[in-house]
Amino acid sequence: MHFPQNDIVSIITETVMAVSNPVGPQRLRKVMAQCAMAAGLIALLVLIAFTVQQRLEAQGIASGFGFLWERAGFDLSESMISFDGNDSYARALLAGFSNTLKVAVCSIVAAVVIGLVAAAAQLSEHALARRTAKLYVAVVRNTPLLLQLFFWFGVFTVSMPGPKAALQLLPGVFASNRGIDFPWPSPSGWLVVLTLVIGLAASLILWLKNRVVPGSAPWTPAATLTAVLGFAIWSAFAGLFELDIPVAGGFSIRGGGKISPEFLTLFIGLSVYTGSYIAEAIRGAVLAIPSGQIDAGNALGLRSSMVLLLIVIPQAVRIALPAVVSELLNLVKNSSLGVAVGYPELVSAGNTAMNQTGQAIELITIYMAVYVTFNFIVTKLFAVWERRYGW
Amino acid sequence: MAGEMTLPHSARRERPVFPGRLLRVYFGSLGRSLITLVFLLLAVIFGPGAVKWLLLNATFFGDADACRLNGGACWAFIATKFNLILFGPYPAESLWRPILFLALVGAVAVYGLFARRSYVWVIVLWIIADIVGFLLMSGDLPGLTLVDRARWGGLPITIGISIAGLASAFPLGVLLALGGNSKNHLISTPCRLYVDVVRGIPAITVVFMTFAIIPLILPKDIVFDKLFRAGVGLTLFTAAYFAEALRGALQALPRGQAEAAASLGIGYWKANFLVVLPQVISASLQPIANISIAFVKNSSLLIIIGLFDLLGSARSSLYDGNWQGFYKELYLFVGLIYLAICLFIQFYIASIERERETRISR
Repeated sequence: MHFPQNDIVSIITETVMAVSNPVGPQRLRKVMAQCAMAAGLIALLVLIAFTVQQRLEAQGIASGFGFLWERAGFDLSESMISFDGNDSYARALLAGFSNTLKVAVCSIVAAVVIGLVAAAAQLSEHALARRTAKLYVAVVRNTPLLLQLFFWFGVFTVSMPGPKAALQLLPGVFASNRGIDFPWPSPSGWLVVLTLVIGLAASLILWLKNRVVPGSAPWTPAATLTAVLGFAIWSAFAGLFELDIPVAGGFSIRGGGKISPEFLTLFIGLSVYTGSYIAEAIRGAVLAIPSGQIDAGNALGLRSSMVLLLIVIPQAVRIALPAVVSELLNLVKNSSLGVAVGYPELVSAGNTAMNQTGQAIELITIYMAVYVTFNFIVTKLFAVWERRYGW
Repeated sequence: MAGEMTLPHSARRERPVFPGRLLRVYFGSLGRSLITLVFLLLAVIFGPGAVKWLLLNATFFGDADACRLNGGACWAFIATKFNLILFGPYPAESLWRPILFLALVGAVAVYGLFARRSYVWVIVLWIIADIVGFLLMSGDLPGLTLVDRARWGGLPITIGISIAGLASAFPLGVLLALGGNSKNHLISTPCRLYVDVVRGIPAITVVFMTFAIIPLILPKDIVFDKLFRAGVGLTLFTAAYFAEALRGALQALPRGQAEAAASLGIGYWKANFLVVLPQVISASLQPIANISIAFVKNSSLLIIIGLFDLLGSARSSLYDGNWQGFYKELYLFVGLIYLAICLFIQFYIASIERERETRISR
């Protein structure tokens, strides 16, 4: 008789069978060993939990997640969602996570662009471009990200002038050791921008529709466009479209939108670092395409740009995508280094809470849960997507 | 394409002919000419400034004021703070000990390059050098004064923790990979869960965790210092990556290999050590190199929990009020050291791989 010996139910049935049936002492021994191991594992975990509990009680730290709903009492230097010291620790962590997502999304876009350019340069026959790209990849991949972040932090703080002598990059755009300040529409200004975007989109759609189905109403796109432009000119004269323009003061720059040096450091650092890994993934994928594929394209008389577009790129994307997704997940994880440059992401906000409450185990559990869940969701979504599109 | 033969892709590269080939590479098409022009433009804009900063206006000897006057790179800063950057706050009169340790490691590294076939022996030598280095640094040898662990710092920490951490993470990774491949779910499920969870979280959280939790788990009278706890964290983190790298190769290995060993009457562990693991490890040398490099880079995370590894002690040299602001020179210098270590690992493991390939093909 053969039993699948894999799940717990069958282990139990087997134990019962083995005990009741003296034939097969070897199987009995195996099952006993498994039971002993499970018991040992559970005993170890219980022992650890018990010791930790005892030790925490001795230190006067209440375990559990109740502290999350207490008043945090600290501020974050920036936050995507509104947050101040009167909010709870839970909201502080949420604000931190929103900052993690902000820097991650921005860096992912930049890293993919850098990776594509560097991969193309590495594969090009232009020797200077190829050597430069190879140097970039070698240097960035073989030095710690933390070192690179410290370097960028120096670039955006130490090497930048103070607010008084801020560099004016464009009219109204200032760069200083407080970050980058730029004009930003006021609330009524945003309304104008929104109307303009919708109006322009509408006239574009109407124009496209007229091209596909000619003769229905040829004047509609022009009329919409005129109306939109008229509205824009009117709102400019009526003072509806207001830009909040930053003004350089003695110690700070006030007004307008702001990008902090901490965000810039993490954004540039993560993009440059992950870009080199993406470049390698793409380069590897292109080189993994059998050269027969390219020969076949040449043999058909396709131009080299067409060979690239029709044969190389579609296959390279399929090979490179899993590695690129894993690098992007690494980027999200690496954003936790914001704690070292003072960017208030999840780990940074959590560590401030940890210093105040001493709830180290709970907070580290939260970090892990957040990152593992995020990782899991993205991996699963990617797997589903891969299956649906036949990859 | 008239008049041009359609040669196979690989045969298309023509013989280099000096001026013609250069012209074709740099100005062969509109796109190439544009790229060349961009490079030329960048060289004209940034080239002179870079050369001035690096060399012409640089200060090699002197003090901070001389550096500020000249305006270029301040290599004098690196020279002045050399001991602090490389060895942290280690007592000056005993500096020969970390230097001896580094020399020992360097000697093993050079020996390793020449004795590529006996890499097991070389690994043993690495570990011996690390233990001797540890004893030298702490002064636990007759005739040496003890040096408190809080005063250790710099390059010896980075190298020491990398060797010790990798030497313990690799066997752990092997066990995790074998465990994850086990038919027994009581073994394979925890192993796989561990690998998946650890690979899903940032290294820094693992370091935080061991840092905060080890003192809570162990009995009160056993106190481990920060360095040990952080090292355990990095080791546990890296073991999961080793396990994942080996798991792939383990699954790719034909089942017949293990079955053949079993049919010869060789037991599980012996079969793994003699038949399975040698093939699995040599098939995953490249990921092993990458993970080792990642370990060296991750050791810089020690700075976040207040330890003085190479990056940490280098950074502490910037706190001197006289010498503030010379971060570029510092990070360039330290970056070059990390680059040298990581490129050495890359080169060393690649040379083992080449050696193995020539041996197999013979």
